[in-house]
Amino acid sequence: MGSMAKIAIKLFVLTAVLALVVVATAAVKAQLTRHYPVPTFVKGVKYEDGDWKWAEAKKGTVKGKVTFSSRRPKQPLVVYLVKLGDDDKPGAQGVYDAPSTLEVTQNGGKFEPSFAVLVRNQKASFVNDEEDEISHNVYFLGDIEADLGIFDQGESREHEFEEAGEVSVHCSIHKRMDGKFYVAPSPAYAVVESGDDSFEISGVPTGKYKLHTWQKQKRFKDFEATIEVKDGQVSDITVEMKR
Amino acid sequence: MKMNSFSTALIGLALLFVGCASAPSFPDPKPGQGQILVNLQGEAREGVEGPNRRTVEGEYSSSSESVEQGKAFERVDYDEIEDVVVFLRDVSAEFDASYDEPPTTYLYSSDEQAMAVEGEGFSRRCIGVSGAQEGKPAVVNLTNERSTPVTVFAFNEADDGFEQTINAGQTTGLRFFEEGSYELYCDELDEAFCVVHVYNSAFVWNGSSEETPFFDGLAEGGYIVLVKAPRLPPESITVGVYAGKRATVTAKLTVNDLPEVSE
Repeated sequence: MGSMAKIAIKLFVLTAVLALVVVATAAVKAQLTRHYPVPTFVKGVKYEDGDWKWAEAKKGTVKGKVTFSSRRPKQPLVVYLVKLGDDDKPGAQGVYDAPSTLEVTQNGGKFEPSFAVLVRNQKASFVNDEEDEISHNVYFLGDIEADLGIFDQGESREHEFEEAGEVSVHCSIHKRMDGKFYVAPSPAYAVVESGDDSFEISGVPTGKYKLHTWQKQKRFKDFEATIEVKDGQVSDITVEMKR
Repeated sequence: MKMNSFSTALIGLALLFVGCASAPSFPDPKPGQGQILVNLQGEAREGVEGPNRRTVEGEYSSSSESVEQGKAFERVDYDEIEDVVVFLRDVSAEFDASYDEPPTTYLYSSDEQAMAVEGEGFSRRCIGVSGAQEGKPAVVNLTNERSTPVTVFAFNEADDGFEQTINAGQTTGLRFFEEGSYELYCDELDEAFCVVHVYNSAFVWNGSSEETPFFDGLAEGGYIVLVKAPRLPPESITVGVYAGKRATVTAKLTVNDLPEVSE
């Protein structure tokens, strides 16, 4: 064997050993470092249903105006009610029939709808209705975090939202495939679209509630107020969105 | 001396090993100080395969193309995740080293970062800034590179936020007085979105996963490395730093740790 070949072999062996030592050291160091994934997978608010039923309750209406201290956003605002217990803290929200399953399609690499308000205990069905053999993945981040898996053309997956809160929806394969959902604690909510300045929530079981707001694009401090709903009556309120 | 092809191949392989074994070069720690090096490791979701392909018949021949055509089907490149933010915070009060009194560390880094409004959105989807010392805000300098004015706004519960109009070509400093995450939007651009993460008393690094965050001149003690990236769960790593040593940690940028929900 030529001298060049001998030198080359020695150099090769030396650097291979060096590379192995570097890799092994890194592996040992990685084991010694404490590593904590951060996500607490369900940060959404859990509400109790309790025993009472919406269908059997007396009901009233909440009606209101929305005012803005500066330029109003183009994106929607959600006004929702949380029933309070005797201690003025969130109580049992009651048993109700959740709205029908929301179908979310994915044709063209887009979630449709890309924004929706659901109700706690409502299901969403994610349908891969692509025209070609394109797979998607659906995962959630935010107040609710989960991965629904990969599904191929023609497949669909359902998910029941058991907690309330804000959820961003993504596909881990396609970088522009995003959506946002808000899960309201109960059917007592209204969406105030851009251009609207009033809302009405009808069929609300009587009792004491805390009214809250949620903004798709946060611009103001979210509003909170306590409101009483009485049988057959309309309760008026002005929602003031301010900084 | 005659080099045969075998020798050439071995030398080539040896050079390849040298290249692979050597990380980007960083200075050695100074006496009495330590370092933290963060390897950012993007990881695609398990089970994802490459795009399917179809045959396209031309006039004289046929070719193969991906079925995923168009901007909407652009795939995430987990080898180069953009807009990654790394914060380094001191947790020496919680560090379980054998000191009678944990060493104290004051972390300070540049409290101004920059980005732009360009095209249909912001130049970054996620930016970190270390801020607010004694009432002085953290600042992100935002340049309007469009030809028309834009109004940007953000709000955080601890801070009243802001709403600012920026004329074409101008730069304004967006001020953040409280620690937290601020969602930044633009009235004129529906798709514009950026999360500004503000942490007090922290080093901050903004870059992409192809780069290597490196923190030098650290006092001994415990630290938390916080890694945030758009559309990915955040990660937190606790690490101890010792004088004269470099600690290396790996942060995974992946959705693979999310709980999988099956029907």
